[in-house]
Amino acid sequence: MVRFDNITTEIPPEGAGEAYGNTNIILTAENDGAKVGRFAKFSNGKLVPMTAADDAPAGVVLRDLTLPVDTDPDDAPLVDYLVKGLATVEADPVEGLPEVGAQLYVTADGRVAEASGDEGGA
Amino acid sequence: MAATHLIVKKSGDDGAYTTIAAAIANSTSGTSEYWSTITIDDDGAYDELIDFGALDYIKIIAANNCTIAPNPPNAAALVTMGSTAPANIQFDVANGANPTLAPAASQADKLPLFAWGDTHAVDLLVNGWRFQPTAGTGWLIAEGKAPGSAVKFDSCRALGGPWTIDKILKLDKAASLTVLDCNMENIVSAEVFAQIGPETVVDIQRSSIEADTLLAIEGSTPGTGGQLDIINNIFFLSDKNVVFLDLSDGVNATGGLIAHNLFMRLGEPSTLVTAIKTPYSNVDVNNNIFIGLGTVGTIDGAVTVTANNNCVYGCSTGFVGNWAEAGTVIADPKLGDGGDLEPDSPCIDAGVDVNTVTVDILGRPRPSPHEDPGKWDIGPWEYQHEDPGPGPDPDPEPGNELINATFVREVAENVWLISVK
Repeated sequence: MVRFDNITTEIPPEGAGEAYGNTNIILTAENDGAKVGRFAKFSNGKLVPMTAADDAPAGVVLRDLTLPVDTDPDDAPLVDYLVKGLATVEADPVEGLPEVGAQLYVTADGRVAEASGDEGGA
Repeated sequence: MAATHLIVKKSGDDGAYTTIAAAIANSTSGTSEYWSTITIDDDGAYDELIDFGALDYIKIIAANNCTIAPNPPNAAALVTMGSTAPANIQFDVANGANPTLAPAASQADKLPLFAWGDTHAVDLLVNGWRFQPTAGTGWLIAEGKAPGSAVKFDSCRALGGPWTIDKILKLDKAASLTVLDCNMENIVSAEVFAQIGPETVVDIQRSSIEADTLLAIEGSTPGTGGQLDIINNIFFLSDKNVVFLDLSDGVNATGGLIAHNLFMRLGEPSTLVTAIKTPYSNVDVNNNIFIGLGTVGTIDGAVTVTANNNCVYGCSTGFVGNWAEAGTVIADPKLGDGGDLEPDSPCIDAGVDVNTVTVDILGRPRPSPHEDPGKWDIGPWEYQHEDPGPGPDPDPEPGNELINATFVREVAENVWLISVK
């Protein structure tokens, strides 16, 4: 007989843009379209989406807990961003996951990747 | 007045409030743009009832695995709201927390975890919380009869407990009921999952529910009706002479879709239970799996109802009446452990195209991205065809840059937990 124990609870309630733990360094900045759950950069004093992989990332944009859940988080005028610590981030799809502790790369649009992307794989 | 953002810790460290009630007493109402928040920032057990009073636009956030477990001397609802005015209330989580509402009033009988009255509409959203009453003779999750209320449960789970045998949700005149990604398999004793009104918009998706009847209507006066969408769910039916999803008893649907669900008996096949009964020609029944039931579907009245590409296996009777039935698969759907379709399942690519359904019960893309053209499977799970690999001219990624961060684990598809150094 088939079993379905816990099948829906395996779906985590959070997506990208959640900070974990309490030893993180999280700052707040004005937002100009930076996307929650991705690395963003500064431009004119505001967080904006990365446009090239060699942009200097400011940090990972976090979900704003003070907004209603149904609000588009990218429209928040002020956002928290994590500069050090644990956070969930959108990833460039890969067939196999990196090893725990593997050094990561950032893509031109602010996601994380397992490889440099110009080597044909990891 | 500006929204307030207060912290609760039992230790009182860093100036935090030590009780939720104290934080509520010092909160103000937020606005639709800036909600007030109360963040519970420890894993303590809070022995207190929650009464929001006249507060509006306020959200409780559990940032740790806390438990709200009151054991009051007099039986009372665990959370009350909207007592003097309409209220917008949310329960949310952060940091991946799994908080629990666990009332322990031993004299409780048919008491709700969330309660509001008959007058003031409540907009309630509960995201990521668990429900586990530990004493009493029967709890339900929510009861509020104020017209126009909107209730949404997202990623919630009902754990084992003394659940009522009556109804789990009593929302007689609600404007809408939304249930997404919820596990309600442990309310097995419930006769009715949700009592709704004749105008309630119902949206139940990617959830698993065990009950005798999914929806029931209160009162005999038909309303104008609401949209009805029941998609990507697992329903465990009882061995009783009832209709699990009966739209003929006042559930006045203006249109909708019953698609990609699994209706099944977990134990021995039933000869009694009927899965669906409908009087509506505008609610299609497509791409569902029915296993071990008495009757798959009946029609109430002189209408023709669309039933495309459903899988029927081990049922006494299929679609009875004037169904416009096409593409029915009469075979073992071959569900593996965990439910995913086995590679030789006849349900793979056997569904009718339902362009509005783009994910399966696990949130995976529907149809599978690795087939061209993509075809919809029957049932809640979409078989994920293997990636054929890069073609002769793979699309190279632009050069990525090394950053000072390391991989920790995957938390969802294409979402990684990383450590930023």
